[in-house]
Amino acid sequence: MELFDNLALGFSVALTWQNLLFCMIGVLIGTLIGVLPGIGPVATIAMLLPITFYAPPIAAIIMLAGIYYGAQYGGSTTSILVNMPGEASAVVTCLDGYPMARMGRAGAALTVAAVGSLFAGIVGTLALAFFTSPLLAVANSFGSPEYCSLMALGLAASVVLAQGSILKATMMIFVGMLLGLVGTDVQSATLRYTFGLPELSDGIGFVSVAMGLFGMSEIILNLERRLRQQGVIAKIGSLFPSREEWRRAIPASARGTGLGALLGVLPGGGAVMSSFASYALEKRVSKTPERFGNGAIEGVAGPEAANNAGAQTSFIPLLILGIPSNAVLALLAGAMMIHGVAPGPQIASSKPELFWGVIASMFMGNVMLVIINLPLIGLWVRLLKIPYGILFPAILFFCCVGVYTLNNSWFDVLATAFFGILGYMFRKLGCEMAPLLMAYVLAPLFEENLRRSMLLSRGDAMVFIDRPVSAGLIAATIILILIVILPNFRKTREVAFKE
Amino acid sequence: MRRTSLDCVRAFVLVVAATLLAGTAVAQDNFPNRALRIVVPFPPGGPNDVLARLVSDHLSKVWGQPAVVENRPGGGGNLAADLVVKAPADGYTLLIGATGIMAVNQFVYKNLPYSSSRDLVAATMLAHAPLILTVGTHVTATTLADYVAFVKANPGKRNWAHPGVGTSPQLAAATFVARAGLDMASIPYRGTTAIVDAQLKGEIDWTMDVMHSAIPLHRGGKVRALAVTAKQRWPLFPEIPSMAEAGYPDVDAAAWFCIAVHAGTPRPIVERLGAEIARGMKSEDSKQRLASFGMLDISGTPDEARRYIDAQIAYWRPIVEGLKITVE
Repeated sequence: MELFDNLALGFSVALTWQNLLFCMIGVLIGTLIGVLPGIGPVATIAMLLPITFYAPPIAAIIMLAGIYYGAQYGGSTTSILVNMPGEASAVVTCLDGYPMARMGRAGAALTVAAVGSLFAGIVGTLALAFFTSPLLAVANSFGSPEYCSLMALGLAASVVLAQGSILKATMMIFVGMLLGLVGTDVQSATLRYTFGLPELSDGIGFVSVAMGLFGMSEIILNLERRLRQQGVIAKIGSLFPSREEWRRAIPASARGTGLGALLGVLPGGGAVMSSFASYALEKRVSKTPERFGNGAIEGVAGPEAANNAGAQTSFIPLLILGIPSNAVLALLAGAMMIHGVAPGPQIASSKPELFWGVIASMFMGNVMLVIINLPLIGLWVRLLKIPYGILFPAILFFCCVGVYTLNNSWFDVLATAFFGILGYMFRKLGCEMAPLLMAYVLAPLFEENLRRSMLLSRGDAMVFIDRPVSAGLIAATIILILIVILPNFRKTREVAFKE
Repeated sequence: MRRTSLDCVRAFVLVVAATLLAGTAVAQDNFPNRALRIVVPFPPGGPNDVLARLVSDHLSKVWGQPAVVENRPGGGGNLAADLVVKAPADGYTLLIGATGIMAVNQFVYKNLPYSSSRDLVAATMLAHAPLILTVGTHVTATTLADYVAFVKANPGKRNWAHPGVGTSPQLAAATFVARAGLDMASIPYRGTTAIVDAQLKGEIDWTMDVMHSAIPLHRGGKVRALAVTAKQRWPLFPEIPSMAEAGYPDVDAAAWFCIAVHAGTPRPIVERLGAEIARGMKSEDSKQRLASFGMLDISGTPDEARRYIDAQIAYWRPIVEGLKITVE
């Protein structure tokens, strides 16, 4: 078996003391920056890049990769504890993770997230090692029309993220779409809704929007509600999930892993969709969907697994084709090139010790992450006992530092504050933020792919129906919209007939 | 009374001037006596960023002062340029200048907050590389002439891709389309990686790609490189024909990088920066790292940099004006 020879080669590389140490350093740094709100892997890897000049290439890449997937582990921590999503994939973790924390189940949420992530990380790495070609075939069937239809499905499904009024959720989706369209139009290079501010020419930064709407507005609300109270959460329950919680979480993790592994391969925004799609799926298959948004453990387990499986399989387009799916992987590609290793089709045959060594290191890294993270959970949860008067300035401080480091721009910090106030107003009006945020992420991708598909088809809209994958996604979108609309429609009609 | 007060003013001005002059003299003698910053107009990971980190690594080693790399992406590099132009003219704020900021943007953008020729001065060039015209493997043509013939036989049916209006790959590609008289649709993508993805799936035929992304794909057989956008073949990849050989000598677009500072920076400091950075760029280690991005070192004096950039401005101006491209 050639594959086992390869893996054996990989482990012989990954299991040297030096590479284990670098892997360990990488995942440790990743965990730390993941936990700090706002400070993301991009800034960290960029800062560490010159240091890796002096390390051997394999060790350097193992370490940088460790930072990337380590940060995915840590990212859930702030979402669950203080409602601060540092990246798109962590948004849905807030929806049920934070309510769990408020009920005193933060430890359980973090444990489920960590164990689910280990499982997903290992499955994702196995997929990376064994199922590269079928996964690439999936990715290859996604052209512009398919991406467009996928984003349409995502936009329609954003309604599912809300628990309250569907009308309000729909409105929030449109607000999100408008926010997402700020910036330079790709086709004509025309500026849209920038009001003469050059800082807006590349759009509004995701972290500013997400941190403002979720985290900052939460802080304002907390200050309004219970400034004098000790800590956010009065009681802290058991750190470990109950049997009932495990029973709900395990199948959710498994489904999330599958979904994440599949969507992670799509370079044009698939990874963004993975945690979100998993949440929507869990809510659909659940017999008690009303629990979602109020601390349903499936809503943490599924998306967290999806996001970690996706983080591993997103290495497939990078290592096989040289296509990085996101900013972190683009940076990693640059780092590999600095070390004289160009990621691309030849890498597996020309540098097998590097290719398989990095893959093998991911197994080791994922195990190390759980060993690091499980004992830390107790520590994180204890942070919630800190009086809020001390905790919230610290959170705000780290947020501002993190947001600033993204582009070294004070504008982003102001934008975060703006969205904090906007989020506070939305909450007072009973409008939910998650649909807005998803629409904000998906709308530019939807628009771009829609217009590109029309250009490619010379204006023939049938391109969305003629291609089977796209047609399937469109059909799913229509069914979803009908499911959402019909019961409401019936209800209003019943009300109308009664009168 | 009046006279004395004027004298007082005069004396005061003289003292201030003398102090300031002394200050600059001292500043030049012990430059640098604090941390430098290198502003990169793009996000981490690309050639801009890598060059900045090479320069930073070298300067902090020889001068014992940290040189902090600051990524300031946005607005086609204009935000970063504006930042450097507004910083003090003391040589402590360096900019990675590239084709856009230093030459093309002034003709493409309608309202720029800075003028690269008035407000910025190059201390040294860093490196350059031509672009590569690659076709996806779904295209059967193996030479540029074959491909042009194929498109002429199928007018209005084929597509080419670019990473945004007003970028140098788009301008170079549009020039080629115009010179060859091709009837094709141009499809915009967000960034070169999205283009490569589309090319591998056969969504678009060709693009003008940057070296470090095109070469691994070319060697791995996923795309075919038909020409480099230069008058001669590129020494690092001599197997790829040049645009001039293929009959398009004025498709000559290079991706190039320099270190620029505020135009008001004292000349001795500009020269000191240029000389030290050039020394770093010529080290074996730097050369190797550049080569892995397909780039060659062109570092030298500020005057050499001025000549290089002037020639580039003279090349791009008629191209942008001929294509009638403007961005707000």
